Amino acid sequence: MSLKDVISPFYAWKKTLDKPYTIKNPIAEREGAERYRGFHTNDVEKCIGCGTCEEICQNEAIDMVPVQGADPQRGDSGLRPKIDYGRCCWCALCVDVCPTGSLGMSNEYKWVTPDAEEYGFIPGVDIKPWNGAEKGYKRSDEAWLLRPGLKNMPVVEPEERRQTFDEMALGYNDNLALLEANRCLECGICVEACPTHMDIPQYIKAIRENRLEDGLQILYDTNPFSESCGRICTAHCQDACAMAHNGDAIGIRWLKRYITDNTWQRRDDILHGDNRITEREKSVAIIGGGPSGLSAAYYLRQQGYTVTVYEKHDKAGGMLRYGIPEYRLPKAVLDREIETITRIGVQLKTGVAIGGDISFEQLRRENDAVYIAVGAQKGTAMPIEGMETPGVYIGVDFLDRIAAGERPDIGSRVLVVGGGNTAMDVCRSSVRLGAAEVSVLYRRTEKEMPANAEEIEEAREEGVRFDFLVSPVRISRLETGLRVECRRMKLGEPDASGRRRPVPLEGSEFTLDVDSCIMAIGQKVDSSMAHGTDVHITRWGTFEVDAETLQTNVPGVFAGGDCESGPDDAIKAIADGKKAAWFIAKYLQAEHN
Amino acid sequence: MKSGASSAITVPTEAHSDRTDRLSPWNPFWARETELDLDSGRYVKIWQGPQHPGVTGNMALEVTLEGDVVRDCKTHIGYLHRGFEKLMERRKWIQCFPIVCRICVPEPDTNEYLFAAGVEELSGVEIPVKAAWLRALVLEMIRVASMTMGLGGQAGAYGLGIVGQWAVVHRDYMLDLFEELTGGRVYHMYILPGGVRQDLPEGFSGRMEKVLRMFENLIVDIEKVMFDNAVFKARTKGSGVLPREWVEPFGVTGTTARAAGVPLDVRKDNPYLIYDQLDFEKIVGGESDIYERAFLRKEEILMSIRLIRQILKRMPGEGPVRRKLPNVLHWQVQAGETYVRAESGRGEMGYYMVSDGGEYPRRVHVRGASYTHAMALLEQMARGQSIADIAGLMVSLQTCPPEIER
Amino acid sequence: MEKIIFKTADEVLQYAIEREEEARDFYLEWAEKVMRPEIGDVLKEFAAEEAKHKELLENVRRGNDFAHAGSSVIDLKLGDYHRETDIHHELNYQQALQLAIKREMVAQQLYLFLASISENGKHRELFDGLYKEESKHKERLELMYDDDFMREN
Repeated sequence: MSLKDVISPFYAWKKTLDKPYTIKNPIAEREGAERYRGFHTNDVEKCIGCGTCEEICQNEAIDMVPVQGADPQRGDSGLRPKIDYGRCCWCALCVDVCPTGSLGMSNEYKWVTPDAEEYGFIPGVDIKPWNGAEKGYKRSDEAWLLRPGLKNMPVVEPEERRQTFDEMALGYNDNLALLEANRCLECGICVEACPTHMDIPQYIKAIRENRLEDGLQILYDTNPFSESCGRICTAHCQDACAMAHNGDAIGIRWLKRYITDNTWQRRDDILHGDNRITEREKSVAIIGGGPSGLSAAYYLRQQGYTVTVYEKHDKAGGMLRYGIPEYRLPKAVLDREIETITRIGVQLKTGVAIGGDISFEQLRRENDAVYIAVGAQKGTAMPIEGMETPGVYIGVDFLDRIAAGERPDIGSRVLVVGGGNTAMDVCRSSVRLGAAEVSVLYRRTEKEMPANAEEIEEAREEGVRFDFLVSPVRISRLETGLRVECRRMKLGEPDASGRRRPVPLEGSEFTLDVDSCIMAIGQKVDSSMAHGTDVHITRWGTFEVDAETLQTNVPGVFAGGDCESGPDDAIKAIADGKKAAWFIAKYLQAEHN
Repeated sequence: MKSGASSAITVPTEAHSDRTDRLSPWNPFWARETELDLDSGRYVKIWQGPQHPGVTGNMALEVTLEGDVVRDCKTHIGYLHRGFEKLMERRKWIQCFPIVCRICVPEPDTNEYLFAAGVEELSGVEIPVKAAWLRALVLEMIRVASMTMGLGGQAGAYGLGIVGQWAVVHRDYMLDLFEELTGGRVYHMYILPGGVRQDLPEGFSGRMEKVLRMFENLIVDIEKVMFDNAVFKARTKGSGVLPREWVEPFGVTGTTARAAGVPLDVRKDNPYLIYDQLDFEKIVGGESDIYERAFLRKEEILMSIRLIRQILKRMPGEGPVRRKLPNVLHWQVQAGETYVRAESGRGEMGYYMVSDGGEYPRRVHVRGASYTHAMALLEQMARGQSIADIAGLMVSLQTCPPEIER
Repeated sequence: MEKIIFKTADEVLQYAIEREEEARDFYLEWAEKVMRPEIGDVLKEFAAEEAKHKELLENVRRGNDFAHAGSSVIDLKLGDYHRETDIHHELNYQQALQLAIKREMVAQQLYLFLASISENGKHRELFDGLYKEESKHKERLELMYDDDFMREN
C-alpha cells in the first residue's frame, strides 16, 4: 500500500466546490428533444380511419373507435385511433406506417392525472395541451414504411396501337402483380367505395399468397364481369384508396385483371365444378342482356330460379360490347364471361326486342318477376341545323357499328363533339379507322371534362387534338365533306350555385371543313317498350324505383342499371343487377309464402 | 497490502485440482451438490436477493455461510423472465423490433442491432453504408454509457458510492445525446431492419465532443478515487480470480475473458458493421482478478471514446440511412436460420433466429453475454469468498439478469 | 301583324299579361294531349311558371317595380342555334325544353321590337323591363337544358 493510494481518494472532496450536475426544476425547465417520441397527436381532418396503426401496434394499444364529428363517408371510415398508454411502448411504428401522415408524436412527456382511465385517449379529439405540437416525431418520407409508387401497367406504344384495334393494355406479369399486391394495407376503405362492395383486400391477399382460385371465387361473389371490369372499370376503389393520399392508389383494377387472366381457362371448373344449384319453381324474365341484366341473371340462376334474358341486339353484352371498343375490352373476353353465365343454365334469347316481338305485358304474365335493364343506349341529339347531313354520326351508333364488325369510312379529317368517355372511345376509334386528323371539340374546359384522365391522356398520345370552349352551331354540306360552323366560348358569371357556364363569345364564329362529324354529347334511355303499361317513367325516360329494393311501382317489376339512374358506369349497373337479384329473390319467396 | 484479511480465503487444494484436472462435460463438477451437514449448526443459509442492493438486477443467491465465508452458493433466476422469445413468435417481424431493446436495460442497442442484423441476413436486405456507421456509433455510445454505469456499480459494491453517483450523472448526459439522436432516452428503438431511423441532427458532433470530454474527465476522477484507492485495491486485488482454463469450458467472453488473458473480442475476431475500418486494439490483461477486470473496463471506456471520435470523423457525409423494406404488414422472411453476434459491454451477445418463411419469426434465441458468467460460474467462484465480497464479485462478472432470463 | 298601339302603360302591361295567359293555356292544353303522363307533368310545370310570370306582371301593374333590378342574366345562347320544333303528341323532355326556350325567345324578340317602335319613354322602359323578364325565363330553361342534355358537352 503506497501513500498515493491513501491520499488519492480525497481528491473527491474537490467536487464540493463544483456546481451540481442536476437541474433544479426539470419538469418546468427541460423540454423534450426535437425528435423525442412523446404523446401522440392526430390531425383528425387528414385521418381517414383506415386502422393501419391499429394493425401494426405490437402491443394492441390502439383501438379504432367512432367519434363525434367524424362521420363515415366515402374514403373515411369515421373511426379514429384511441391509444391506451398503459400498453403503448412509444415505438412510433404507428406514426411510421400512417398512409395519410396524420398521426404524429409531440415531444411532450409529462402527464399527471389522478384518474388512470384518462390514459386511454383519442389524440386530436380529446383536448390536450400538446395537440398540434410542431416538435416531436413526425413521419418523414425516408421513414415511411409504405411504398407510394404504383407499378405501371405495360401498354402498347402509341405509334403502334393507333393502327390497330388490338388490346392496348398487356396485363401484369407475376412479378409486377406480386409487387403491387404487396403494397396493399388491407384497410378495407375501398370496399365501401365499390358500388358492388367487392372484397378487395381479400382478393389482393389471395394474389400475395398465390391462391388465385380463391381469388376468383371472391371476385365472382359480387361481380360476374370481373374480367371485363379488370380492364374498363372506373375504379372508385382506387379513388378512395388510403395510399392515394400520399402516393399512388393500389392498382386494384390491374390486380383484378391479373387474377382473371390466370384463371379464365379453368374458370367454370373453379366456380361451378361441384354444380350445386337446387332448382326452384319460379321464373324471372330479364329485359336487356347487358352487364346489369346478366349479373342479375347470374345471381338469380344460382338461387335456382328459371331465368330468361331477352336481348334486342344480335349478341349480349350491352354497352360492354357495343359501347366500349375492342382495344379496351376485347370481345373474346366478354364472350367467355357471358358463357360462364349461360353455362349455369341462364337462357339467353338474342335478337328479341321486348315491345316489338314480345310485349311487356306478355312477359309479365308468363313470369313471376321481371327485371328491366335496358340501359341508356340512345345518343342524345344536338338539335342544330344540318344533323341529317351525310357524314354526321351519333357517337353510340358509330361505336355500335364498329363493335358489330363494320369499319365505316369516316375520311381523314374527323371532328368529335363531346367530352365524356364515349367521346374518347369515338375519337380513339376514329384514329384506328385511319383518320389522319382527329379533333375533339368540347364546350367547356379540360378540368370539367367528365372523361377519365387516363383516357384523355391516351387519346392525346395517339394524336388526337383537343379544342376546348368550342361548340358547333350549324352543319352544312360541301361538295366533299361537311362545313361545321363553330362558336368559341368563355366561362361566364357564376350562376346561383356558383358554377361558371360557357357563354358564346360575340364575333367568334369560325368554320371547320371536315369529312365526318361525330356527336357524342350524352346518352338517354329508350323506355318505349314500357309505354302504355302502368310502370312509372320519369321525364328523363328513366324508370322510377324504390331506392332500396329497386322495385318499380308495379309489384314484381324491378329496374336497375343505366335505365334507372341515367347513364353511369358498368360497375354500378353490375351492382344494381346483384342487388336486384337479392330483392327479386326476397319478393319471390314472400310471394311463395 | 498482503492479500490476507480482505481477500478470498483460498480454496482447499485437493478440491481445486479436482476441478481443473477434469474439465469436461462428462464430469460436470459444477453440478455436483456440495456435501455439507446443514444440521450441524455450523452453517447459516441466507438469501441474497432477489431484491437486494448487492445484486445487479433481480436475481437470488442462496448462500450457505460458515461464519463469514461462503461454503456454497446456488443462483436462482427467473424473476425477470418476461417471455421475449415467445412474444416474438407471436409478433410480425417488424413488430418485434420495439420489444427486443427491453431485453437488456443498460445496453438495449446491442439487442436492436442483433435482431436487425439477423432479419437482414435471413431476408437478404442490405443496409446503406451510412447506416452501418450510425449503428456502430450508437453501439459505442451505449457501451460508454453502460460500462460507466458498470464501474459505478463496481465501486458501489465495495461501499464507494460516490463513483456510482458520478457515473449515473454522466450516463444521463449520454442519454441526452441519445434523446436528440433517436427520440428515446433509455429504449431507443433506433436500429431496425433496413438501417437506422434517422440521420444525425444538426450540430450533433459538437455536442458529442463536449460529452466525451466530460467522460474523459470523469475517468480521470475515477482513476484517482477508485483505482488509486488503498481500500479498493486491498479488497479487489487477488480476489475473484478466474483461472484461464475455465474460460473456454464455461464459455466466458468479453472483458472477463480478456482479463484472464484470453483475447476474445468479436469486433476484431468477426468484424461486423464497419469495425474492420476502425483502428483499435484488443485490451487484454492477465491477472484475472476483480481489480484487473474493472481496470480493463475503464480502458475500454477510453477506447470507445476514441472510437466514437473516429467514427464521427470517418462517417460518410450524405446518404440514405434506411432501405425501404417490403410492406411490413405482411412481410414474409425467407425460411432459414442464422446466428449473429456482437460485442456488448459484457461479452459476446448473440441472436439465433429461425424463419419458416412466414410473417412471424419461428424461433429467436437470445444468447445473453452474461448467461455464462452468472449462474454456474458464479456459484463456483463464490465459494471461499467472504459474504461482503459477493456483491463485488457479481458486478465484476457483469451479471445482467434481464439478458440471462429475457 | 296588326298595328299595336298603346296609349297607356296599363295597356302595355295588359298586353304582356295576356301573352302570359296565352302561354299558360297553351301548355295546359297540350299537357292533356301528350302521350306520356310524365311529359304532361312537365308541361303543367311550365304552365305554373307562366302563371307566376302573370302574377309578377299584375304586381308591376299595381305600381311596384320589376323584381330583377341590378341582377345580370346569363345568356347561354343554346336556343339561338336550335332548329325550330313543333309541339306534337310524342314530345319528350328534351324537346319540351327546346320548345319552351324558343317560345321565350319569341317573346324576347317581341318586346325588343315593341321597344324599338315605341315613342313613349315610359313605355320603352316597360318594354325593356319585360325583355329582361323574358331573358330570365329563357335563362332558367337554358340552365335546365344545360344540366340535363349537355352533360357530356
